Amino acid sequence: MQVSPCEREEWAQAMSREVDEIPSEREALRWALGCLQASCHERLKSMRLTSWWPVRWGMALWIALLAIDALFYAGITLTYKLGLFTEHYHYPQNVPLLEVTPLWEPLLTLVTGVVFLLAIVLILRRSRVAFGAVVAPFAIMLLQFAVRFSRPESGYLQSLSIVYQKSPFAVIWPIAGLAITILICLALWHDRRTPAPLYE
Amino acid sequence: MALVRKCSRQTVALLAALMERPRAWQYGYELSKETGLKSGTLYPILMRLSDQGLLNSCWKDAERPGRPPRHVYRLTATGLALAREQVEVSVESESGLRPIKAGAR
Repeated sequence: MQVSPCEREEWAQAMSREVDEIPSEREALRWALGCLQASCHERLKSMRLTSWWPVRWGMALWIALLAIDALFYAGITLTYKLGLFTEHYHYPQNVPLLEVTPLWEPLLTLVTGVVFLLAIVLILRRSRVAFGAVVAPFAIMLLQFAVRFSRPESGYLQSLSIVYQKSPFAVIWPIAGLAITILICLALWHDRRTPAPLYE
Repeated sequence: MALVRKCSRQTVALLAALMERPRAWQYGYELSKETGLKSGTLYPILMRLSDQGLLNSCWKDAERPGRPPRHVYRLTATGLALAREQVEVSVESESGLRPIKAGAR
């Protein structure tokens, strides 16, 4: 069984040839285990995470959630801003917040949501451009959060406080969401740098 | 003064070992014994140096008859320049020497 990737075949041979030259059996075994470790390291480095379908679909699903969230927010806010709300709007407590939200914010969120949708297609097609298509809207999203945090009337800071949420576990979700998205960005960055495999 | 990016301690040890005999081809096991690096650390470094064009490698016929050829290594000209630079930086930082300002005690 060969652990090293195809492009490292020569190195795998080089390592195994050295084993024959080691006089002590014990030392030879230690050497071989070290070589196995080096081969596993190289294999992991050469692997494209998105070539494994559960990873690819998991990433796409998470980005889809972000896209839905962005599009839902943009939809609600734009509908209000354009005066399309009817008297059946169920969340009157949101009206003061919608009033102070500038128009550019839902428009930017709409763009973010659309780019996230595009990113889903790119991830499923294993495109290298997927990295940019996730990072760019994610960066915009973070910027928007920062802007909202800076506006006390947005109520964002209060909504994240443990006092408001009544349970410390509720605060874990935004942090976990952020961590998952960062992990996806890192995985896509790794895949972008990894050369395409010789055989797939 | 130009900033020199410092390599890891293990890489510097390997560069120093290769720099000692720059013209000679050296075996992996030999380098491991000389530097004290285990094969799991040594080979990833050798691969990286080779990828960056700092190391030449080739197959050399075994000295003992009936044995298969072995992989041997030596630094390229760029590798040698980097090795000199890195060993110098490493020696400076280990000895803790700092340039003394004129007039200062």
